[in-house]
Amino acid sequence: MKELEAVALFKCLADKSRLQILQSLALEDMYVERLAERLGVTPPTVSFHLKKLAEAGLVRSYRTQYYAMYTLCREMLEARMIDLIRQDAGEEDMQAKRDEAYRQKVIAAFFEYGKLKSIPAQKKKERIVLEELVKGFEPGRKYTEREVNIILADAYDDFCTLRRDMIGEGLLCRESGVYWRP
Amino acid sequence: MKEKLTAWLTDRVAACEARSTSLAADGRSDEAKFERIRVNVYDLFRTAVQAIHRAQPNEAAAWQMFEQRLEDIPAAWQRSRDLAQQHGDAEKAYIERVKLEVAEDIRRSYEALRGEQA
Repeated sequence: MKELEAVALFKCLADKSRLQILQSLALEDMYVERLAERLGVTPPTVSFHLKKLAEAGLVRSYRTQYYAMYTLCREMLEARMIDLIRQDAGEEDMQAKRDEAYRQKVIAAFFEYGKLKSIPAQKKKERIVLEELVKGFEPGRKYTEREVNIILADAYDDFCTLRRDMIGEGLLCRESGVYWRP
Repeated sequence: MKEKLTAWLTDRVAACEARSTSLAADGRSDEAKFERIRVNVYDLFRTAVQAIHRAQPNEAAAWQMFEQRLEDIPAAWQRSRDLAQQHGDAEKAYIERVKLEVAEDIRRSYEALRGEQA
């Protein structure tokens, strides 16, 4: 298991309501309303916890005639703790993972559903944002300025600043009004 | 009316704060966080009551402004919730739902107090 996945798993388990849901599901498969009744919380709260448990790979759902039933993913729960925390990666890999985690944090902070909320003031963060946006361009393909504007305007209104900064960062190249991703 | 609504909002803030503390102590961190969100929403409208009455001395006009806030603020949360649901962002959708439930609770209480006053 990757380090980040292990952290997500342990964070998910560090909540009494979620542990109680797992305890209930260990007895038998249940639907949301039944779990809500057992735990004394509202069905939307149970749904929220089940979503988190499903993301961590601890439960899954299946449909019956009337309900969506939830069941334990026993293979995950029966895994040994030592297997969950074992790390094969060297320091180089660890650094790459830390960098990737930072990158994801910046992306989560500055994007919402694919739209850029604002251009970061900090250079390092802006670079990450621009690298994310440049993925919208196929490497080597030639684009007119209008095409570049349309692609960038999808993510943010001030596409001129984004275009200029991408050129400045070497993420896009420009010659005679033609743009391409190197 | 202003004092009654403020007192009710203060009670709600205190009740949610107490629940949040108790849930956190019980190891239910996410539910404790949702109670903190409820505290913030009750507190936001409590502040709005005070600020509007300071800015607008005319009682009727002040309440009209408050009613407008009761429409506008949850409308933004509703939009945010719809967007989160469209993108399968269950956690954000749930948080917006919590905020909308509190706003509805405040609206009901405000209307009840108005009814009493009439």
